[in-house]
Amino acid sequence: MVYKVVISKATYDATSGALADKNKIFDSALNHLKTFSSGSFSRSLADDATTTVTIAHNLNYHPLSIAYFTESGDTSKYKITMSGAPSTSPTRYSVSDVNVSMYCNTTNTYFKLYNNAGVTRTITVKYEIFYEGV
Amino acid sequence: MAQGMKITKAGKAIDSAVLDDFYLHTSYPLLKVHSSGTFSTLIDGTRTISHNLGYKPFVLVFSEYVNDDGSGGVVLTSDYYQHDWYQGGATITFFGYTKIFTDRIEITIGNTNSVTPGAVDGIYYIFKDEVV
Repeated sequence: MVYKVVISKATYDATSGALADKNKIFDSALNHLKTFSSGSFSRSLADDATTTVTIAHNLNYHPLSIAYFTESGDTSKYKITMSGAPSTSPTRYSVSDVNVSMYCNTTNTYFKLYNNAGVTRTITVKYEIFYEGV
Repeated sequence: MAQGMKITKAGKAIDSAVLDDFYLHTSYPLLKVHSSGTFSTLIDGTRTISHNLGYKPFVLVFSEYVNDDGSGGVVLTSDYYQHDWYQGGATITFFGYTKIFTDRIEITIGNTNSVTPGAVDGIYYIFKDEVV
């Protein structure tokens, strides 16, 4: 017999074999994302400037990661990073915008920041790198 | 009475009001992995990964990226990018994106001229957690 720990969301029965996985808070038989590292950084960029920030992980594989950024022109919201527009080609973004691309190799995770706002902007990135990956 | 479990990070108080102080706080669901894997040799096409969850799950996909080689051509990166990339050129545009359905995800690599830039490798994680 296999034992496990299951914690259900409120109003759901954790002992029910019919409990859908999506209605669980935690199930010890399932893998969960585990944070390898997290943090934040800020960079001030002049108009049309690009910089790349490197975060070492040395995991020897490509880890999953999630990151969000905000910029001094609009600190009311965080935007999810997108790799679709490396800084030289912000095709998918407004010309009066900033962009942060995120990508990784087996040693580092990179954040490429680009300011195309017409004025200097400070970009703040919050990231989470996970142990999960290949 | 609500019951639950909390595990704090070292040095943090169990009654902390700061959620980032916890490794586990059962008032808040953790992302639970449904399936994961790699895809490779995906050339100008769509790779379908079935999940059959009956709802649209949260998904993370990373892949190689078709980059500008600086000489009018393209080259695949060895780095893995978030799989939502786009590379627009003068005569051709390359793109990669993922669509999420209630029974599958579709990982697409494509371009506007239907050429085959090479084998694109990547990884995917599908979670049990529903996007609502």
